[in-house]
Amino acid sequence: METVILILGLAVGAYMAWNIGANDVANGMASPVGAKAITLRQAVLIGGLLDFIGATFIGSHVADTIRKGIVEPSAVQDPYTMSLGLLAALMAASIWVFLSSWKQIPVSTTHSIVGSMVGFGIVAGGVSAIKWWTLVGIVLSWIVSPVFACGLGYLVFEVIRRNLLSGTHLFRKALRLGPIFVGLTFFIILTSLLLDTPLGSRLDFGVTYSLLLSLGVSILLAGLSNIWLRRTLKRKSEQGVEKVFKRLQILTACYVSVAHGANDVANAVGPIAGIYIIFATGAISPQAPVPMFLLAFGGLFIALGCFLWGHRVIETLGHQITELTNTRGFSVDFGVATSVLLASKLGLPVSTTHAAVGAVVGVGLARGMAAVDFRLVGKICLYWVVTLPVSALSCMIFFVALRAIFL
Amino acid sequence: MRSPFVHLFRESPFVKLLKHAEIVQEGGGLFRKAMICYLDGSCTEFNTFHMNVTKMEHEADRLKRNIRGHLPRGLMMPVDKFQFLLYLREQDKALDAVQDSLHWLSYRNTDVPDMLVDDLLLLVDKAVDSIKQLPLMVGRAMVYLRSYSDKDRRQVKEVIKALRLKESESDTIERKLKSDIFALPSVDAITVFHLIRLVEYMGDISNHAENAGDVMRAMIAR
Repeated sequence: METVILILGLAVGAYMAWNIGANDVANGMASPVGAKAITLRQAVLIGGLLDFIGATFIGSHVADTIRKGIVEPSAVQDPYTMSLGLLAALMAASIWVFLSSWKQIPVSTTHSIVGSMVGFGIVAGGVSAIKWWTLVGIVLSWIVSPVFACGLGYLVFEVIRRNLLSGTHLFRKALRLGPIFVGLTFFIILTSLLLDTPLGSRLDFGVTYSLLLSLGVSILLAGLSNIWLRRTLKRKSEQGVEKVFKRLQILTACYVSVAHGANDVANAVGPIAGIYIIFATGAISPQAPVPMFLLAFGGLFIALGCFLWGHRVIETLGHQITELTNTRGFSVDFGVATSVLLASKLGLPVSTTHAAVGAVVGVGLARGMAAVDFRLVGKICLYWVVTLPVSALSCMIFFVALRAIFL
Repeated sequence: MRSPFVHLFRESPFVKLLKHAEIVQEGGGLFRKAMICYLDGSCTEFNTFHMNVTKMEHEADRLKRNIRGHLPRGLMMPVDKFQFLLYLREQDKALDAVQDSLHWLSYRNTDVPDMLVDDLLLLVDKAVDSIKQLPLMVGRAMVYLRSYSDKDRRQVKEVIKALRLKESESDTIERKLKSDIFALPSVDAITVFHLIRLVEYMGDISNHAENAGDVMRAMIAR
């Protein structure tokens, strides 16, 4: 029976991961494709590969939160019940995600898995089984991350607009400011990699040294990007500002993919990790970390979803987002990736999609967008309110059904 | 597809605004032909030109309603929505003034004195030239609102300056024409009334085009 549960969990988890790759990767890739910074083929490759890398090497924190951060492990004593509950949560979340894909409702996979876990916890252990303070923190992060991404998107585009788009000697200014953005991006990525990831734990550099190392490498890479930009951009013209950011947008597209993989793999892998640990040890082990091969499993199916289906979504969105120039796309991507990566470091499961919406709104507020429908923000808030109880309720139904079948 | 990006990005309203400006410009071209036909006593195509301008004005009105109907409260644009709608109104009124001029002409077959013909044609040219600036101005504004470069902003302001100049010249010719009409010897009052109102309607074309330019200036203000 445990084997059946594990296999079912892997199958449903694979579907969730596939869905994330098929739909959500496009949110980060559509802007560079629309701005013609990268081709569709490059977007699919970058999206798939770097999502896999982000999932495998940075994704453990959020997966841990999904696995043990919502339901109190001591509230559910029977490991068999716990594994059924995790499976039910995965099934409920995937059904909700399937329905929303079919009906084109902008629902977040993150919110649905968290809601499902709450549903299971309430049925299995009562209201006291839920770590309400953690949940409040998670829900707050859903509000904070799009707002933070909005602020970053606004700030970055304002800086670009005031310093690089108006005035004189724009191309020269872009060549000066561009490498600073490159350095900042690499600093955040390297810090994330070195601080408290499986890779960082193996290297064991410590906080101060990791920060100094990240700073040093970022400065070096900023310098190299400076040389690269000056060599590849020969013609000095006012249009050159967009050309500079075209190259930078390739970097931020990679950045978004890594951040997305790091945060969203947990939606599929978090529950599977719990099921696997119970299967392997026969007990509920809150201390056991998420196995890396499971993160790689989730990352692999995200990449497959992106390769097999995501290209259609990227292409469709890329055609729609034609007003997004390279400077705007860069601002959006930087805002999204930074807010999502920071949330991942804190173990908070945030919606990459909603952070992207926040970043676009931020750039829109900075007068960077031709026409952005702000009403979608209200709709998204409504779906926040709806998704939690709906996925919780469906998980309760699945759990009761699975308990009746297996127990 | 459950991506919110499907619903987040909308087509820029400036795209339809440009299309509207192009219809107004086309109407201006037909107006010139209609005036030449009217002043040439032997031309029989005035009614055809008049009808075509009326159709064009209906088309412009339809597009104007479409633009207004697709600017919901939650839509964020790089310019103030109220100013955008005001601009659209003035641009549309320029074509309305063209139509009003032709309607007015159609009510009576006035024999225009030779001494007024050259100035009337000059007034027509100023009006049509004003209208021709509108799609150019909208196109340059679209470029500026993407690039935010000083160079593109200057180009928009150049067109606005040209519009002001055309309006000023149009006003000068309008005043001269009115003065000449009132000084005409042995002309009946109805003819005087018909010609004076015609000159006023034609002057309104440049006035509205210049108003549109003023609103555009406000839209691109930093």
